[in-house]
Amino acid sequence: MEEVAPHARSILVRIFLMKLLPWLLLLSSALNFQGSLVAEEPTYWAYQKPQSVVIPDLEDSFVQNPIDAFILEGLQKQKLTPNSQAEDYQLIRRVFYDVTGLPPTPSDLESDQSWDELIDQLLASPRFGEKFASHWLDLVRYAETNGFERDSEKEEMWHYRDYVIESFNSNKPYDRFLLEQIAGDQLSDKSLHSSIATGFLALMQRDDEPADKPQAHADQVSDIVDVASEAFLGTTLACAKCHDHKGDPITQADYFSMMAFFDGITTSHFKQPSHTWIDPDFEKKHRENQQAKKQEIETLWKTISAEKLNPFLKKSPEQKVIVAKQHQGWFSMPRVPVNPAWSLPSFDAKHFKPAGHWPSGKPLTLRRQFGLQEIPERFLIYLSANLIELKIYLNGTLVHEGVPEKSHGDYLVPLSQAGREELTTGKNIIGIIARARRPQDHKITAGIFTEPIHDMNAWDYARIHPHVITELFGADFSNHTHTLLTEKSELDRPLKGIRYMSINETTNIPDPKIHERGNVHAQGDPVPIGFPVVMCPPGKSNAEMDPSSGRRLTFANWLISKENPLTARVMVNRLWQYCFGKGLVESSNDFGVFGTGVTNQKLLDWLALEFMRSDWNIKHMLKLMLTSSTYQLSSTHQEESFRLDPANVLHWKRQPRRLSAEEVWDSFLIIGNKLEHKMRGPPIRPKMPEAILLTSSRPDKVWPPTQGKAANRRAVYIHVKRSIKLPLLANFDSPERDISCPSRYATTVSTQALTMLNSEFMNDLAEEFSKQLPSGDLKAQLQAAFKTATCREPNSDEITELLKLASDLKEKHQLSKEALRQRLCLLILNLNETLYLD
Amino acid sequence: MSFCGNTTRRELLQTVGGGFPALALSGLMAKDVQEGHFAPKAKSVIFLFMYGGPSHIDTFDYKPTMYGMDGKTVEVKTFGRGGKKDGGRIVEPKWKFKQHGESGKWVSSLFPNVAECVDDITFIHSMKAESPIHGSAMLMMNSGSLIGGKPSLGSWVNYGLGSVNENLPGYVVMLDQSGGPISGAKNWSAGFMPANYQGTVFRSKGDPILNLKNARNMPRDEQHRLIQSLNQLNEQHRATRYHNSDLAARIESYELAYKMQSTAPEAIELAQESEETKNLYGVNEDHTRDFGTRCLLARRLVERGTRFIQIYSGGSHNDHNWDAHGDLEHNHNRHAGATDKPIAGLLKDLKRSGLLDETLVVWGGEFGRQPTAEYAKGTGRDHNSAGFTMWMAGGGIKGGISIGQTDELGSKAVEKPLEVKELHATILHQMGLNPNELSYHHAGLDEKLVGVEGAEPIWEIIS
Repeated sequence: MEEVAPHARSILVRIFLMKLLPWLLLLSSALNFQGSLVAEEPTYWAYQKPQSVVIPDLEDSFVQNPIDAFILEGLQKQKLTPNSQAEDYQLIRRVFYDVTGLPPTPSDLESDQSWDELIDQLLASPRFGEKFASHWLDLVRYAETNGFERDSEKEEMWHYRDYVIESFNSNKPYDRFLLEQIAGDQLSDKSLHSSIATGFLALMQRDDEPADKPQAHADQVSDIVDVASEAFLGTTLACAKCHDHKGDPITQADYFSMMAFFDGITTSHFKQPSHTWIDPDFEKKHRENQQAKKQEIETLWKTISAEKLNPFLKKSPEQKVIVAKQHQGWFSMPRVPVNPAWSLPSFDAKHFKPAGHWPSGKPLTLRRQFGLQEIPERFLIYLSANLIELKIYLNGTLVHEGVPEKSHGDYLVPLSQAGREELTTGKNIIGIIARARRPQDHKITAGIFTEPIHDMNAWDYARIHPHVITELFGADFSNHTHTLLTEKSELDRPLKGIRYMSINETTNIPDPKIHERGNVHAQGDPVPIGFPVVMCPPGKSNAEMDPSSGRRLTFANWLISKENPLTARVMVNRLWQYCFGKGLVESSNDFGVFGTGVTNQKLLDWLALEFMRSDWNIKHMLKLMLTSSTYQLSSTHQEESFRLDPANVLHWKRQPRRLSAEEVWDSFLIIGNKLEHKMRGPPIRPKMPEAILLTSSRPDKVWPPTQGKAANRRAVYIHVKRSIKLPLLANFDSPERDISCPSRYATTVSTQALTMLNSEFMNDLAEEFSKQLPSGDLKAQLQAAFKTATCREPNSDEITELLKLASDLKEKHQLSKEALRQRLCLLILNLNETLYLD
Repeated sequence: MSFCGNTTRRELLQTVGGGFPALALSGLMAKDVQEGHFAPKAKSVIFLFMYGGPSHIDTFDYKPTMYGMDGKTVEVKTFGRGGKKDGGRIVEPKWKFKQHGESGKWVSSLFPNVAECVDDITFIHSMKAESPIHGSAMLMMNSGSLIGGKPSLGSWVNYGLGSVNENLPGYVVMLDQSGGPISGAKNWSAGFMPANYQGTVFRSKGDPILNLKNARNMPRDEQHRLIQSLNQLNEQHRATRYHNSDLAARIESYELAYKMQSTAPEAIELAQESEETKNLYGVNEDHTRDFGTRCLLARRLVERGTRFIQIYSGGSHNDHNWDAHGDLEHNHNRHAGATDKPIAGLLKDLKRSGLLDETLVVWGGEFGRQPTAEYAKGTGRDHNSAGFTMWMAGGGIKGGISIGQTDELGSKAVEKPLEVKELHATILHQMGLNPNELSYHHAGLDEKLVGVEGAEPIWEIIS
């Protein structure tokens, strides 16, 4: 049975943990029991704050920094000696991939800079943020679609990906990084950047037609709790949703107490971004400009006797209705038609639906035809709604753009002289594209008249009847007014902000209660809003809610408090994992008793304290790790060391690793000299094989490919769609982004080999690769190709093998010179050494 | 799982794991058939997935009192994509039912050929699913969860048992010619398990597996020569790294891939089948060719040791699948017409070769359909997850019986309601796996296909 359920091996341990431990914990808390429960510690280590540790005082050339001292101490206890340092080319290749996710160039290999300088250079490279973003995006299960039947886009989600990349590159302190993602919109110094960070809260799957809406909502909110607890606290809280945790001292009440921090989140809008950011300083200045312009006009009007105009401002009794202000007769489309002919009289209206409802968030197109016996003197379009965008077309020509000031609660758009020339006697078509400010404004009524339907203010009148103004006050005044009014209407256009995806929140939050078995319809006991009791100092379990600060901010502040026993440990452990292959706690999302436990707690705690001491400085911690002797160990096998520590828990050697899916993609684009180093912006969709498109229910729509060079960007910029994935990434274990992924698998399957040998992507790439080779004889070319892929010169056996293959292929298969080089490059790309570090 | 330096490559292959948690190597790379929890009744599963949701009362769930009620308004609680309703206009079953076989099972005229096999089938008339909406219901039927991210049934089976034939995928999915189902690859995802447990899409035309043929048409002997050198260089690289089992596994994977390039096309080579067999599956008739070919391929894959095969009837959207919201008769005539003969052919062919005893055939969709009309006009029925029919045959399942009942309109399961996890538990059990023990440690939970609370197989249908 070992193969069926590998973890069942430790079945006795598990029975103890699952059946007995909770009772013991319960008992111990009931009796305020402080004795030994697990090992010799009073309570489980992970819930105690890290205590300062003494750095072992070891005289050894191996010890470059405290990390090495802790490691060497561990090794010496087991009578192990660390391996020697790896060869230079291995080290350079290793650190380039670990820090930037990209291979070194030939000149990088020849560089004579010191190791220290190299680390600084790599950590300062923008490529560092791109590499580390991949780690983070796995943790927070970053995807750009919602999943389920339509798998619709989370539009503008990519701002969050850029935020993560920029945060790593700017070495944002980790506490700030967490604070922004959880409550960046509730900060006193909030910015566009910190608001985009809260996109973290909108990354979950979202069923747009759930069978049970309240449950689906609760599940989405609890998904945030699950990911936050695993990713930030290294704690698998999810099981406490249905029952008290079977291993860790976390109760179901703890779960719903913590969920209460997020209870205000509404989950109804994860398609169109409901947030638009306008820089507050810019907006302030803009308002001042608007005010100043208004002032200027008023000052001008004071120079004349405006009362002369009063008789003209009454609404006209002779107003003629051209198009009535009703829904009926107007037609709409859910999307702006691509074809401009939609607003021409000849256009067939069959694709239009009767207007009345606005599809939420999208611009609405209104269309209506009307007849004219003669061209009216004035053509006044009235619209009632709250708009942020407005375009009006007459017979296919754009005649107005921008949202004017309201007059008597309506927008009044007088048709300009140029616009009037578009009108014809007979059939005319008016087309309107409009976008409302808020979802509840998704209703519009429109009408067209020849005379004002309300009393007018002087400015509106001046806009509509410039000739009357000229007659009354002279041409200069009229022209001046006209100029100022035009400038004002320019200023009155709504500011175009940056749209980004995040959550909305309601203040109408029910008191938190336990959901029995995780069922929202089975509400149990009320719980206070608060943090898991076991992670809090005594008497500090509940959140002291400051009514002026948001719930999420309260949570975030607790999370990043230096009193929190887990936050710093969990992150330094991840950084360790990213440098050394696996964490000091290998189950890096689970520091609890069901996890793997810690292999060197003193080191972990020293790192955690150093992390907090350095103000959560990620690059500082990475530099410590990367400049340690431990990092630079060779991966050479030692029989004796292996016997004593087969899993290399104590770090006597370097653990080799396979390149990740992104590293494979990026490296190959570099090797083919195709990689475009463009950062930021909307995601790319590289060419998807036809056979994969056909697995979708909408093969023709699911993946419109990005054309040209723009598709050759790093894998971190590839569109993350939940229902479809590029086969190369899927083959190399790019994870499902539905749940937090703390570490990747490295599986080996035959379909991987098929992709590597046979796919169009690989074969094209091999050809590009062969074209990059220096001119010269085949041997020199093969040496260059081999070195590009592996960072070292092939030895004589290897070059002999390659040359023999070349001559066999040439003789037996009559390959052209080009085809031969393509085959040899394909082989080199397929080498284990190309895909493995060390 | 410690191994020492003298380990053979074979042993290494069995102990290779990927990251955390430590895992036995399975799927394609496993050399040996793994043993389940107990002696299995079935060695393979063929899941005939009627995507979109076939109407149970028009196929296998006979509701005699509904005839003559067409158009009558009735009070009945329904819940479909159109929301919850308290009543509606009855659409009486649009096909006539007749009794068949020794068991006298009532089957509608939609399935005249399957009707000949009823004595080999257990009909489950009281299935319930948690969602009447395609998106979540598909995930439920395939992975036991309404939300994505969990491994699918086929992944669990291959995780538990490994593959018999390393030259072919152990978990195969064959899609309809109209396209994939909604959510695409999520339906055969390995979720939080390693990628080697995910389903492989197998095509009945052209290259059965993606990238099986070289994009530059490299001849086979040339490729063989290339792989020879690749192995040579990789072995040199491994010489100082023999403790790293991943490297050995990767070398092996090229040999397997090379073999797969001949075994996979051979598996779809229907020329080896007699005309009689092809006719049995409807391969020679236009309307049954697509599904019939895939059913015949399924039998050939079962013979070659594939553990889990899922065949989709219907794909894409609207009337390309069983989702009969508009014209029920048009829709169901089309999809039943395309599948009836192939399914019967599969059952008969498996039976005559003795394979049916060890092959579990499962039929059904993600839910059934309502007794009432969805709209004011027409015969379209909305989704119904409160009661619907699935059936199983072979693999140690009793023949000629029916269990559970819906009410007289077929609106909900009233006798012995059964959940999707009980269906899954039964499938795992027949494959020799204890559904309540087959678990995978993920994020602090011993995750199971049947959920943490577990589920019992449907004992009364197991022979």
